Amino acid sequence: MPGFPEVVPTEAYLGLSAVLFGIGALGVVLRKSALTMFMSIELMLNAVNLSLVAFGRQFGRLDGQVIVFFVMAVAAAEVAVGLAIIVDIYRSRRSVDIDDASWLRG
Amino acid sequence: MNGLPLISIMLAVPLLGAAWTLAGGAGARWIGMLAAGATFALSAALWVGHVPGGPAFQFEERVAWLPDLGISYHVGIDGVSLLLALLTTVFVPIALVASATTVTTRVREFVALVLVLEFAILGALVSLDLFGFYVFFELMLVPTFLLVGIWGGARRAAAAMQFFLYTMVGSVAMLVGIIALGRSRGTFDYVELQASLARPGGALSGTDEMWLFVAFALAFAIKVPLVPMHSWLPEAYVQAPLPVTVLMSSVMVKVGAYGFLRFCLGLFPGAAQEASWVVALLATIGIVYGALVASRQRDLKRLVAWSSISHLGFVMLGLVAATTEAIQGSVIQMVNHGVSTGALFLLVGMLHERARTWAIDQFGGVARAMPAFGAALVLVVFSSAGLPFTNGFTGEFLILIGTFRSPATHLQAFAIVGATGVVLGALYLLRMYRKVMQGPVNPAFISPGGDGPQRVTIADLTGREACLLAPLAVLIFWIGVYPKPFLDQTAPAARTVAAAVGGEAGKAPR
Amino acid sequence: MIDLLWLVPVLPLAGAVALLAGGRRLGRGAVVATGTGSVALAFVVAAGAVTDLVANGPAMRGVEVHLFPWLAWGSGSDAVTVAEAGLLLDPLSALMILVVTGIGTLIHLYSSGYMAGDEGFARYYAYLNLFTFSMLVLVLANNLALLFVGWELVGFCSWALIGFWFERKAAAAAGQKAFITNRVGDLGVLAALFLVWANWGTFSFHALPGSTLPGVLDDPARVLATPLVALAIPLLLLLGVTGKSAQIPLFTWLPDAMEGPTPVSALIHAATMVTGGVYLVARVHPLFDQSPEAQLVLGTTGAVTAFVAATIATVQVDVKRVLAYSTVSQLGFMVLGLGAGAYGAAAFHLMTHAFFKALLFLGAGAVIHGVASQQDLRKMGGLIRYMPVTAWTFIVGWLAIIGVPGLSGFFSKDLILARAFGRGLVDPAFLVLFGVALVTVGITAFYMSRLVFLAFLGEYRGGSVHPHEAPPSMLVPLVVLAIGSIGAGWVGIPPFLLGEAGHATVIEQFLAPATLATGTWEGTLDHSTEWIITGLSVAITLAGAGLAGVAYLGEGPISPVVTELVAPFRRLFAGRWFVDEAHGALVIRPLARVASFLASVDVGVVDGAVALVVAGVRGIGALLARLQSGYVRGYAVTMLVGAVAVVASAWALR
Repeated sequence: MPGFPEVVPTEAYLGLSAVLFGIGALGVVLRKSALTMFMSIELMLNAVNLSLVAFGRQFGRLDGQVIVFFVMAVAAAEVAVGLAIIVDIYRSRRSVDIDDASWLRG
Repeated sequence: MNGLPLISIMLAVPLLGAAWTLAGGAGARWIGMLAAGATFALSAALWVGHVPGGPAFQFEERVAWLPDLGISYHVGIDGVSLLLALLTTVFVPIALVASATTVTTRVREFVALVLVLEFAILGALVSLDLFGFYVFFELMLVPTFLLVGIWGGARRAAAAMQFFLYTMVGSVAMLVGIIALGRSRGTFDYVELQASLARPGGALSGTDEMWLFVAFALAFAIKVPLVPMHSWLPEAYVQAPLPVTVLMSSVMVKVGAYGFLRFCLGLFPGAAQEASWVVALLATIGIVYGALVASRQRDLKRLVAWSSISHLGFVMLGLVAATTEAIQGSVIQMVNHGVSTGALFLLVGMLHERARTWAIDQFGGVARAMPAFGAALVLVVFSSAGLPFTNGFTGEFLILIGTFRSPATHLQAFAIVGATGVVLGALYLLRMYRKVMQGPVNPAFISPGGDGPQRVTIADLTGREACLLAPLAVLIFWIGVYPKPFLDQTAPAARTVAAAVGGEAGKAPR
Repeated sequence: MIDLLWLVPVLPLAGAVALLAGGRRLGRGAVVATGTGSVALAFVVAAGAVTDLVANGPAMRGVEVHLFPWLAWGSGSDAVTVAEAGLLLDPLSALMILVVTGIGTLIHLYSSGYMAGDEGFARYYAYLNLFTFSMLVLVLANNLALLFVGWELVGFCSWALIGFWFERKAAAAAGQKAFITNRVGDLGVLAALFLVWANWGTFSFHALPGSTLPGVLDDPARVLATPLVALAIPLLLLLGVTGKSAQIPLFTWLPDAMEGPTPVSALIHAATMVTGGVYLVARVHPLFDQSPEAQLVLGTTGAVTAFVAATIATVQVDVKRVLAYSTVSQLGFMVLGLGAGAYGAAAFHLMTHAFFKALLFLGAGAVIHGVASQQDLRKMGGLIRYMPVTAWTFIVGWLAIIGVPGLSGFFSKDLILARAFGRGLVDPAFLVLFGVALVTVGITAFYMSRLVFLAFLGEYRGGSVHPHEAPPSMLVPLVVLAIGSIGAGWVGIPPFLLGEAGHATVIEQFLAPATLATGTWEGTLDHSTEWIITGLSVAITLAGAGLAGVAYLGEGPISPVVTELVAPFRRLFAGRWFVDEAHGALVIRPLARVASFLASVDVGVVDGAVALVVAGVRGIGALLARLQSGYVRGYAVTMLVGAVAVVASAWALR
């Protein structure tokens, strides 16, 4: 119908989500700094959030948004712990280069 | 007596004894002896109460454990497990007494571990549930590993590790077999499985049966051991402290032979018959190989270890011959080997205690210095060599005539080759005796007395040592001259297995 | 007294146990009393039992005494008896128990003098008693398995007695050699037992086909052995006989066994243990009768052994060794008789040989005792002047063994010759064996005469050692045995010498219920042939003795030509036909090499294989451990790739 505001198709959201996820994945793999890796992980998590909300809207259910809350809570906890570990490593090694932290070698 | 769960009590006593030993302070050895003695008394009660003509398994107890999986705590004894259980309960006190002079550090832990080992061995012997059997079978490894690894000789760590891992490989194969069988039939119970396999249409397919047989047989072949899976034995026996060696050789390896009889022959008779040639071949090779290598040993303990391998070949040969007299011979030979080889180890251990060496070359003419010891060694050496009216002959003779007769498995050639084992056995045993006990007395054992008589510096048998050897000497003669009480107990089981594997022709001579 | 038969073996056993347990605390006299007394008492019981048996009447087939179930189990209809402990008294075992306990008593008595100074006095008597017990089990057993028990036990006792002075390396080695060599022969007996068990399902002598023992049922359903088995069983038993009765090629232990005390040699190696093989064949002769081929092998073994051993004896300088090889040779005669199917004749020679060989050995012991333990013939001579009783009894033994007419050896040896010849009329191969045996008679006369001449006649060559006579405890048995050596033969006087008709001697008739061959083996000899055979043997005996006299009595040396001729033979005989060397090269050393090889194989290959597996597992482990790089980004990549793979495959497989 001309003039009626069109609903953004779910595929667009998924596409955006995929792109964000991909960028985040590349960031985790290709970047050396631990902080950058963390940001990339956050990006991946939020990409997933986006797709969850999009699906929630598509099926008209709130489940997607509820899961997003869980994801955000877990992400926050994980960041807290992870940043604490990185700070500790920085204190002893004076660097956040992830390649240097390979003491758990088998 | 009836109605009391004697078997469970018999299992519990060593376990409780171990716990008490660890908890209590002084007197660990006495607690151990008390527990071991009580266990022996209980097993003797079982002997008295067992009726050979009665049901196949007696003193049965069954308590559901994991009913959804078909696993229960099911124990019971028949003549064979009874005899081996008695062997165990006789040898644990002997080992504890023998340890009085050889184990002096961390005595509490030692006694506790020995009692736990006894618990595991007895459990394996009486268990009528495959899962339970596996648990006990594996459980045997832990105290043995610790006993060898902590109180052993210079290379104890490697020996213990090799023993543990080697045996484990076989056990894993058996586990796969157990799970396969149990899950396919819905029960892990031995009696139920036998019934299920005997039902028309309930039999396993040929290949299935053979795979299961091989899986189980591998575990037992490593334990017995059957050549070529024997590599763990010499080092383990040599590095272990003497009481542990006695227990391992006299008792622990019998669980392997017992398992072969109970499970491989009992559950998979068809496959057993087909595989009998291979087993007989390996067993006969073991007899000859073990004897020949033993004749080249210069270390007393190692020589006895190799003689062990040779003697156990006879046991396995008799088991697959599938005639009643061969299986009777096998079972009695399991006991005989325990008694004779155990006594041999004890005797060479006594020599070691005095001379601080295992090397045969370091001895000579000891019989002059230690006449009572010499007499004991003569008895045990000839018992090992199978002299009639000693226990060795009873076992070997029944095995050989039964193997020769085997109508189903045609093992005649193996009987002949195995018979040469009596010559080879005499060869290394007599040679050892000659080098150690005969000939001119080694000057190390006689101090020149100047003008007076020479003084012997090596002591003859002490009272304690004589007490250790006395029950074994009694058994040597008893089983040699009047084995009927023992054979009576095991006859029904032997007959059943012979009939199952060998067909009716195997049951009785013409 | 037959129900007291069990006392016969048990009395010596009780003596042995008592002496082993407490012997060292008893005085010499008590030891001798216990040891000798038990055997003497056993002899009395045995004599009583035999009297009862004879009184049973002409049938006299045999009485069985069942003692207890031995290798047996079950009860009622389920009962299985592999072997019981039971005794059988029939003419053959009657003869044996009288010989064993009778001569045994004499030897026990003799030992009290011979072993008087020895530290191990009680131990010696204990072993002697144990040996007597074992031998009695062997001959009284009513089934093959129990016989085998006695068979092996005498082997053990001979190990203990040969190696009695075990501090001497040579004695210990000789004992071991005896036991092991016997065990090799025992393999044959064992294999034969397997065949018997597989064929008939029992070891009882009753069950042997053709057995004439009482109670045997003529049951057509009882299957006789197949021809192959019928040949195999006797041949395998022959292997056992070769070991126990010291035939070729397993005789090498017997000469070495002279390391033991001389009374031991007398008992074990003359009178009893070695005759076990002869007894075995006579006992199970129906098995041999089924196979003429086996009998030929048996006879050939006996004849060849007799010859070879006799030749070796001609060059021995140790008095005991001469007697040892003589024993081997005489056993060969017995085995020849067995091969010819003349079981009674062989048993007869067994009996006479027991007397005169024991006499000769004990006499030799008295000689050795009298010249301060010196055994070399070259250092003896003229001893008849110093030890007359010993010398004269020894001479009686000498006359008996060479077969001077009228003494025991003459009758028994000629009986075997006659039976062998008779068999030869049916089976010509035996004529050859007869010839070999006849030649051996001559050689026997030669070496035994040589022994007597060198030891007792001529001048004493022993230097400063002054010979003296033996004590009465040693002389009395010698005299008794001498009387026996003369008189024991009279039960075997062949009818032709008495001018009577027929062939069977009294002793053969006595033994017939046990030993009569099943089947006709003999061509009948007419009396003139028998006279010729006897004449030949006497002639050849005189020739042998005469030759020895010429060589060793006169002072003149034998002509160089003769010495040259004889030289290569001398080497062969002195080298004992190199049988020991052959054993070493063909069996003992290769076996040792194989054993060493296997021992190193075990360390190298078997342990190596295990080590290989261990190394392999370690290697894989090390390889996989490299995944644990500690490199976080690598983990991240792995996780990513893995996640993608899982999702993709799940999506593809939906």
